[in-house]
Amino acid sequence: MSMHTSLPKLLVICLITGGVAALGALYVSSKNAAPQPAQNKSVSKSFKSIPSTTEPLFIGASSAPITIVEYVDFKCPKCNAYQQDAGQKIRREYVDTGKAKIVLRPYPVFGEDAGLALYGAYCAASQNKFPAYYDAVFAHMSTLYKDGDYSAAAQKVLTKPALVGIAQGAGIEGSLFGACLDGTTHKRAFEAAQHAAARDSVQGTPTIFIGGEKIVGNQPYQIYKTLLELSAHEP
Amino acid sequence: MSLSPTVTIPIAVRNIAFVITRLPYLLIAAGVAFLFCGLIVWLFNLPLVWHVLTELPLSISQKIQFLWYGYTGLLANSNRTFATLTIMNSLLAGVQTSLLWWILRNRLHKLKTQTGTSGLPLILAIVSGGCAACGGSLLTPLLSALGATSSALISTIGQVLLFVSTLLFTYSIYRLGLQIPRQEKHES
Repeated sequence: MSMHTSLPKLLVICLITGGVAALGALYVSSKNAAPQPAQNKSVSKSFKSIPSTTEPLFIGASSAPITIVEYVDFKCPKCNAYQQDAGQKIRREYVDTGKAKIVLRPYPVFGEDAGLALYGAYCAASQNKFPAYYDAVFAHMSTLYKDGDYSAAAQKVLTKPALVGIAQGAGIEGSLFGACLDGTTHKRAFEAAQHAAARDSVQGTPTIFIGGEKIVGNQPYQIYKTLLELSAHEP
Repeated sequence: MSLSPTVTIPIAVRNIAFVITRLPYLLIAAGVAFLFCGLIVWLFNLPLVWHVLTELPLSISQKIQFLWYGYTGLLANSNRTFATLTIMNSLLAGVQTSLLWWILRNRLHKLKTQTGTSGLPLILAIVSGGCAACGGSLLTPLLSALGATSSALISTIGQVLLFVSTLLFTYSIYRLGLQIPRQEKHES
């Protein structure tokens, strides 16, 4: 058999052999992993800033066993898509049932007003209204992102008057919220979140950590669910 | 003397069809397209994929299913233009690799029979810098990957890059198609 005629066959054989080898490796790793669930306790190298109980921006019961850390920007279209789909399902099935809590860490990407809106999250939290504010800002942005038009992401749409209006719609006291937006009360907490993002090697939004596993981008709900279920079964 | 595109395009299409309808080359194209698409959808999360495959206590079927979710996300979580361009780029990458393999195989054979030398330098030249003569370049898949992954952050730029890479892939395949008649078509 000459080299000339055998090369494509060789490549096909290589592809098949590679596939079989990959399946074999998967099988071996699944066998090895099964009796050692404690391995799952190991947190990814990229996740370094474990949430503390004092982080102000959280949704759900503070005692929930699983912590989901969300690095988001309210103006980011992919964050919006995540929040409208997988995020909602996670809230319904894990957060509302007390299995998990969401810790938000602001990561402003889309301009100065994105930073202001994220700063406003701390102001809402000081009135114990962070979850309502979180939902209201995302809902507001989704009205601007209709029909796949994301041009609003490049515009200054989350101005102070707009944010006060959104906050009031979420049941937040407007004048207190407005004064808080002008102040620097939460500056340190806001900056601490940015430092945490650097430590966790966050480079874009949305970046979600579940049980220390980093998931970048808006992914199908099943991916988050798989990791949540694994975290739930950790000893 | 250069021929007009109205003459060369049908020739290229016929030659491409000639190669791609052969089972081994069809399999190469399909395999590369699948892997290329997988690389694009999982590129941002490769550490997670590695962790899931090697460490997490999941069965083999659960691990495969987990990988498959990435592909489903392309259709479910992306806009139609982006998903179409990504799939088109993957298919074109598969066809390009298949054609490149055909040409490379024939050139290697010629090189070996005519000069008795090894074809290794040729392979290295193509793999490292791209094949300028046959229009295949590493720039195209790079652009494609950049376009696909940047979309997670800036979807418009991602789509533009994907569109540019689609054009480059198409041109590259056209050029490769024109190279085929110079090879020994009767041999598979």
